[in-house]
Amino acid sequence: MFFQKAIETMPREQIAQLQSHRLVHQARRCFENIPFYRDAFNEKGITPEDIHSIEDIQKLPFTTKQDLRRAYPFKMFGIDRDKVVRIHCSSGTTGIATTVGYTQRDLDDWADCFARVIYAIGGGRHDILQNCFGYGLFTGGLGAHYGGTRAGCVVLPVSVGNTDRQVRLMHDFGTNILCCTPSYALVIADRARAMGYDPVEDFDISMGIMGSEPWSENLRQQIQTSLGIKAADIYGLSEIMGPGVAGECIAQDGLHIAEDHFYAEIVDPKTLAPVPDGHYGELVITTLTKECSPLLRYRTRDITRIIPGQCLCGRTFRRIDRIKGRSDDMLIIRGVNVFPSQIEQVITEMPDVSPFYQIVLTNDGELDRIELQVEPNEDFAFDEVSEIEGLRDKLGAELKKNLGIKVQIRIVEPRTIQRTTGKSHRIIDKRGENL
Amino acid sequence: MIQQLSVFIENTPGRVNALFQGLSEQGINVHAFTIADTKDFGIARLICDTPKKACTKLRDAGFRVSLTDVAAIYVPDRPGGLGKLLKLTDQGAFDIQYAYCFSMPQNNEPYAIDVMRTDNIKGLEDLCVNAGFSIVPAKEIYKLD
Repeated sequence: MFFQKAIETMPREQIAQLQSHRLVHQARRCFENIPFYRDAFNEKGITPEDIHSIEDIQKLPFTTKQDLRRAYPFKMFGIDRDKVVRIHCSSGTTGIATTVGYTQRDLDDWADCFARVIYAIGGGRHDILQNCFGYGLFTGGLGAHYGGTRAGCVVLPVSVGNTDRQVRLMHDFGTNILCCTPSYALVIADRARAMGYDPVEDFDISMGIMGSEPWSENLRQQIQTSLGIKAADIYGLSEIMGPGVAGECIAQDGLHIAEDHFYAEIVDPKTLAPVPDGHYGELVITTLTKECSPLLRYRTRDITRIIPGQCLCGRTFRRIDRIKGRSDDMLIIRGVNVFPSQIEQVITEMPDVSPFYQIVLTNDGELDRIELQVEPNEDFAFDEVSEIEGLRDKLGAELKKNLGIKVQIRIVEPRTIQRTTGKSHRIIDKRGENL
Repeated sequence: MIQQLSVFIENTPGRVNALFQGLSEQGINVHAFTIADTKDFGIARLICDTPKKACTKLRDAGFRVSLTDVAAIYVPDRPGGLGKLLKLTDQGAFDIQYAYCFSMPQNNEPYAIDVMRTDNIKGLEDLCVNAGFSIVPAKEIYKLD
């Protein structure tokens, strides 16, 4: 199902033409209206006249999160203040918040992008969409809200939290589409079972649109099985727009980038040189149509790759793979690069442990120590110490094989590990605390 | 054959207490309790009057619980009582994974109950019966729930 079929299936040459046309215009807007870009163009010795087509994108300067922080609050706005109709902020978990403004057209484009993902997973008019993304400055809540409205859905603006009520509404109203973070989807499924429901039998829900944190294929399978749904991964970030920058289709084989609005590059995070399709690197996005907060070559810090080839669904937009991690989430443990998503992948392959986990990093003298805390699953039948030790050793061996480092495992009692409703805080880094 | 509760207990202060407070609130009576411990965790094994109910209630309270079949055999509460039984299981080449005892008089005579875990419970019980031991019937230990 397509929301805007002509755009979503546009031939590649036509997409390139459209992107070229829009990039030329966007480069000029940035140069003329935003002092940061004027300086950056001058520093690179370029002017908007040097940009003729999308091929010229590598001539343009990069933009970083730090640049946006320096521009706080409105110095990156590329349009007269009276055209601005909405402002969102990034969560600011790592420092000063970054501000993003929207014109009415920016909001319309965003709603279209999100609506495309709803259609791509099989949703549409009259479906009841339960939106458990947090409403507020965070883009998740309003992104899904207006996307759902644009797609013609019946939107339930529940926001995050109060899981008992989420479950009751899902049952009583006959929700069809659930929008939330993957970890919250598991919390809901858990809670539903504890309240005596079988989500697969008792609920009408058949689709999920989930994102805002990296999740593995195994976690997806687990969510799909426990809720009886097909779950699509959606990607976005507030600096660029919000959820809908890219999203999966029914094929569940990568996320289609909304290439009429965004141009994606994958670069080596150290050298910033482009990497070939299929290779992992940092995702860099240029907004082609944003009026209020246009960004050129924004370094997202998200690690992914372009999936080569065309998707079975008929969409011609290129696909990115699921986010493997963030270049700043990457843990360096005894010199080895470890992404939490790799650990999650191993855990979700072990049926005897629950998917909730916590990682505690400490240092033991000079050496980093990584401890993984997991809970045994409800169905895990044990009677002897050796069975629990066996589970621990098996998990340890799998992690060693996949990550190349030794991980200390601690099996903890159920509900010891905090269930989160938003982005999971699964890593506690205590290294350097006792130096 | 009777059913024993096996409960996973993390080795942190207050967890055994929490387990027993939970059982007490549900009015569950514990006849026997033993713990197998390691540095990080332990497994508490309990014989109680309502094992199925205890299992459900403990799970609801967030514990990881398994129900395990064990053999329960009466042994006379006097020197050599258990020795005779162990000689028998040894001769029968039964692999006993663990065992523990608690006392419970029968017909005003001092008797102990020996609980044993092995893979072949039926075989062990038959062997004991043939040698003159009596097996503890489930109804002696628990209210049928």
